[in-house]
Order: sequence, then structure tokens, then C-alpha cells
Amino acid sequence: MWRFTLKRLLNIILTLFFLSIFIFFLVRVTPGTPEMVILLNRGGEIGGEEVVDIKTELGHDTSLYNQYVNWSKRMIRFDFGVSYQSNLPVLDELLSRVSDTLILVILSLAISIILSVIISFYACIYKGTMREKWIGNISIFLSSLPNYLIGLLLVLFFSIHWKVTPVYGDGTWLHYILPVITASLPLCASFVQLFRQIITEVIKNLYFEAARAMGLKKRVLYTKFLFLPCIHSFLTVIASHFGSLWGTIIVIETIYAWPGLGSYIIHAVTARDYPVVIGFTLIMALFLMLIYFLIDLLLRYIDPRQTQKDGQIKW
Amino acid sequence: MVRRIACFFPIICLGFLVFTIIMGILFTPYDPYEVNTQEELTPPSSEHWFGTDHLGRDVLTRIVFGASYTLLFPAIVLLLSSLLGVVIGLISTIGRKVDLLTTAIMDSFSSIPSFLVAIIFAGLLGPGMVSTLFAILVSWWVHYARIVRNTSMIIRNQPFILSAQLSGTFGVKLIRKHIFPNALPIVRELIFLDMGTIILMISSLSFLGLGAQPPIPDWGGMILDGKSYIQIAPWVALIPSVFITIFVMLFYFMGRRVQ
Repeated sequence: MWRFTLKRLLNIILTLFFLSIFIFFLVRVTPGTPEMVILLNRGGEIGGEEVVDIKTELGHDTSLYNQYVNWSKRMIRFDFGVSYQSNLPVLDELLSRVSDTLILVILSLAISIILSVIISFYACIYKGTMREKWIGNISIFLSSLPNYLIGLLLVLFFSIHWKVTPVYGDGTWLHYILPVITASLPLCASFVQLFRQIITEVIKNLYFEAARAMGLKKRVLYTKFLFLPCIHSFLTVIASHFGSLWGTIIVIETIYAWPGLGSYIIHAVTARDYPVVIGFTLIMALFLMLIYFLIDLLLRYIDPRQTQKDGQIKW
Repeated sequence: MVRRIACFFPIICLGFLVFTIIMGILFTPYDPYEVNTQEELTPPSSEHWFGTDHLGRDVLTRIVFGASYTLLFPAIVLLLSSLLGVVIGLISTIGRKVDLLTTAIMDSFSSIPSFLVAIIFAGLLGPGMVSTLFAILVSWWVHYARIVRNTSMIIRNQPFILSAQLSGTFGVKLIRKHIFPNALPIVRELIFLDMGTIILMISSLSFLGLGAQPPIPDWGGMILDGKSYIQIAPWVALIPSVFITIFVMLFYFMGRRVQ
């Protein structure tokens, strides 16, 4: 266990190192150098003496290696510099917006997990009936719906036609309803598909058949012999969807003009606000890798058999 | 018999839709780019089957002409990125040190969700088709590289590789003759399954304003245009998104059949 932890932490550091190199060069390869962007934001003229001043100010007049070393030293201290647009520290800008997005992510994830677990167990218990078939078909249909279509339809019916919820913005709890539904419908549908596969695999096991043959109470049978063995695989599926959920949340935030991280990042990317983009990418990578790491630790705690498998994989 | 028809149903549907799209390109009386200020936002009628958008352009004509941007372009992008992924995945099987390096690169690319990578690349390279291509290429090759690498590792440990090595096949020849053909079926399955996802990703990029730029009749861009008029003219945004949904679903079913 300790070896695993150490290995994974080392891996995270290595990954961040490679990622930082990529980002460092990406900024220098893309059209529009940082000096230009700063000049444009300050309202200066391109091609004047000021470019050189800004270059010395940023430390871009030294060698590439020196630049990278200085830059990465600042990155390690979480000092991402100031935003070109607002001249405020990037970390503060990001942190002030992350809570709005995090609420959306957590709410939609929680709702879709709860719903999909209930629905997929229902489908598997009533296997072979029409209900199960319909659940399968509807989940395929919903999981291939693009989230902007869901968003547009929801806005059209709930906000414009029936006037139940506000069209966009945030503030009251009513504002949360449509974005959360938009995020969780496709997520829930794809969870149901994957969970159903997992549950049918577990049902095939002989021990489940034996437990059923013993005449256990249905409650005990389904919770202890069906739900518990599934948890491990469920967590893996959820972890694999956690990252992509952040991507969909960005689209959803633009649909509903949600003042969160997503709309801010899109704005920063199109305005070439390099410190914000770099800071966001590195923090996001670190955050997601730590989450995956914690989930892996949890999985190992739940199912220690995985630890034994580590030694068997050889190159 | 019914089951056999059901098996080909997605392919028949796709063929039919592609046929109608070609017919539409040949026989439409309207120009997808021509602005007509007299017929702004007219609802669907017998003249304009799907209505007109905010510049008076026929939505059906734009959908028909935009099909190549929304369907053909993702296919090209997907093929290129799978090619890149397969090559890198196979390279990682050469040796232990190469494998460590490529895995580290793969890890750093997959540490951020691929859609976020695509957004960052497309945004920094400036909106347009070429930057969309690069964005998807950069964000999607990792999936293929990882799958190819993992299957090749499993293949490597099988006895027939050992016998090939014993008979004097090493290095590139071993990979080309023995590992690559055995890893190919999985890649083929994945390409069919991913087609819908890539269409969704590219149209989402256009929807965010980072993809193909107006006046190109890309479906995602049409949804973005129509979003502002959703209250008075919902068809402008809804019809392209319904079309995207239909195609994504057909590709999904086709992928399942291939599986």
C-alpha cells in the first residue's frame, strides 16, 4: 500500500513536469505572443519600443532554459502571475469562480449516481420484461443527446413556455434546476448502461446463484450479494466519468450564462489570457489526478485483491 | 429475418440520409450563403421546409451543405488521431525506456479531460477548422495510444511472440508483423464507437464559438446562431441539433453492431 502511494505520487509529479513543459512551449508556439496580448490590453501600439520593456518585465529576454526554470519555480509556489485582462492574481480569480462550478458538478454527479443505481438495479431485477427493454432503449437515446439540445429544449419549455424557471444566470435555487438536469440526464443514462453491464456480470456469479438458492430474504440478497460486489466497479466507472463531466459543464455554463469557471475559461482562452489558461490547466490537472489517486486508494481499501495483482504485471 | 434487417437498420438509415443530403445539394433552389433580408426568421412552410434563420437563409439548405463539415470532417479528424495514437502506442512497445517516456507523455495529456484540452488548443490557435483539427488530434490520440499500448503488452506476453522471437523476428518487424495485426480489431471497433463522440465534440466546439467560423454552415455554428433567437424562432437552433442527435445515435448503434 505504501509503495503504491509513493509510486502514484511520484507519477503525479512526473506528469505535472511533462505537462508544464508542454504548456510552456504551447504558449510560445501559438500565434500571438504574451507581449502582444499585454500591449493590446494596455492599449499600446504594436511594433514600438514597449515590446522590449514588457519582454524584460516578464523575463522573456533570457535563454529558454532560464525562462523555464524561473517560470516553473513560480508555478511550484502556485504563483501563476496576474491576469492580463483584470490585473488580478490568477489564483484568486479562479478560486472566486470555482465554487459555482463545483456546486453544479457535485449536484449533477450525486443526482445521476443515485438515480442510475436505483434504475439499473430495477432493470436488472426485472430482467427480461418490457420495462427492462425500455430502460435500455431510453438510456441509449438519452446518452447520445448533445447537452446543448437538452439545454435548449429545457429552456424552451420550462423557461419560455411555462415560465417556471429563469432563462439564465444564478442566484436562487430555481437557477440550479435546469443546468443540473442538463448535466445529469446524459450522465445518468450512460451510468445506467455501464452499471447494468456490471450488475449482470455479478448476477452470473455462482455465489449469487447459491445465495438465491439458500432462500435468503430479498433485501439481504440484493444488498449483500448484489450491491456490495458491484461497488468497486461502480466507483471505477464514476471516476472515469468525473473528468469529462467538467468538460460538459463548460458547455452547460455557456448555455445558461452561468458565472462559473467554464465561461471564464472560454473567455480567457479566446482573449489569449495566458496566465489564466496555464493556471487553470495546471490546477485542473493536479486536482483531477489527486481525485483519481484518492479513488484508487479507496478502491484498494475496499478490494485488497487489487494490491496483489500489481506484482503480476510485468513489462 | 427481422433481426437481420434490424442489424442493418442503422446502415440503411445512414445511407438514406447521405443520399438525401446529396440530392439536397443537387436540387436545392436556395444558396446557403445568400442573405435575404426580406425573409428573416420565417417559420417552417412549404417553401422553406425548416424555416429561415436570422439572415433569411434557408435552414434546410444550410443543413444539407453543412453536412460535409459536420460529418465528413469528424471522420477525417478521427482517422488522423487514431493513426497518430496507434503509431505512438506501437512505438511504446519497442523497449522499456521508450515505454516509460511515452506513458509519461500519455499521462500528462490524459490528466486533463480531452474536451478541455480541445477547448484550450482550439482557443489558443484561434478559431477555425484547422485549429479544430489540431485540437481534436491533440486531445484524442491518447485514447488510442493507451488502448494500443495495453493490448500490445498483453499480446507481447503470449507464446507466439516468444516463438517469433526465437525464429529471429525482432524490433520493428515483430511489431509490424505480429503485434499490429492483433491490435487492429480493437482500434477498428473503437473508431466506430468514437465517431459519435467526435461529432459531438466538434459541434460543441463550434457551439462555443471555437470551431468553424460563419458563414460556414456548420451545424454547431448554426445552433450558436439560433441560440439568441430561441424565444421567437426555436427552429433555427433546434433543427441542427436534432440532426446531430440523429447522426450521433446512428453511429452509436453502428458501433455497437461492429462490436
